[in-house]
Amino acid sequence: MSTLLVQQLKTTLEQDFTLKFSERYQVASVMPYLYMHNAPAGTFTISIVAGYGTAASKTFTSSAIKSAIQTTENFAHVFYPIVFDSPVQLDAGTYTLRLSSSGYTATADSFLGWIQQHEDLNNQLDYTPSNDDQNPLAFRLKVYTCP
Amino acid sequence: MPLIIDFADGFTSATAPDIASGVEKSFALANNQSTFANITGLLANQAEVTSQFIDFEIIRSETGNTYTQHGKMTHYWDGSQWNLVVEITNGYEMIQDVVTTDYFVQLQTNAGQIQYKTGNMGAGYSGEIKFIVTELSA
Repeated sequence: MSTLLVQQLKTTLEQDFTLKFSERYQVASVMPYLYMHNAPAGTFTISIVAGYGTAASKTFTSSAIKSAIQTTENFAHVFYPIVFDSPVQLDAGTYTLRLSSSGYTATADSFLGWIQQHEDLNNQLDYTPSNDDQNPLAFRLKVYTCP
Repeated sequence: MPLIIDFADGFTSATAPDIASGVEKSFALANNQSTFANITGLLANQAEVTSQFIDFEIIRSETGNTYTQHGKMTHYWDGSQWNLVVEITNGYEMIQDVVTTDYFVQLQTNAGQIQYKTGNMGAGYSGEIKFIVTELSA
């Protein structure tokens, strides 16, 4: 059994992150750790937001989540891969990963959530959580590397 | 407030996992409910849960009048029976031991199921209880 700490999406959820390499990042995909509760209706958008505006965004639905993990079941937790339609290059700096929605209403019976993760082997925290509520919203950023 | 969700083995499920705490629910309170009726979502099984801490808001209105009460309740198993205690309230004193006025609400626990009665309000009635439950397991 897995015990998940889930932030329920009501309007938007955001997680800041900082890229530290000296080279530009060529983003292959971003994978937020999502919780789907009864395949909620609506359209969801994941965006990478920079100081200058939106660097990249893509929409998806519950059906897309189910298709990606090849399931017909309506309850799932998954690192959902999102590949942006256009190449995205990011300089070192601080960005915000934002989850938003349209045509969606969270209810007790049907909602989308983003999972907070205590141990994130992929990302380094610049603070020490004093309780589970302070764990970050988990995601993985996949980048292309030069050969 | 984050939700705590216990998900069975695997990454997908055809049935809803257990949401241990954190999700807001609501239940429509009937008008002039003279016999105790169950509040859906406020049921505890002592084999699984020994304490529930309930943040609540009760809203009952009729044309021209709206009554609200906000507070906290503790619903706990003492080893032999369930107990319901209203700990903190603000607003109208709607929750009473007996319904003697139209906007009053009476609550009780019946073997772990919280139930209610209501007074008889007038035309244009609507009523609901909204709540968030935090549980401690047995």
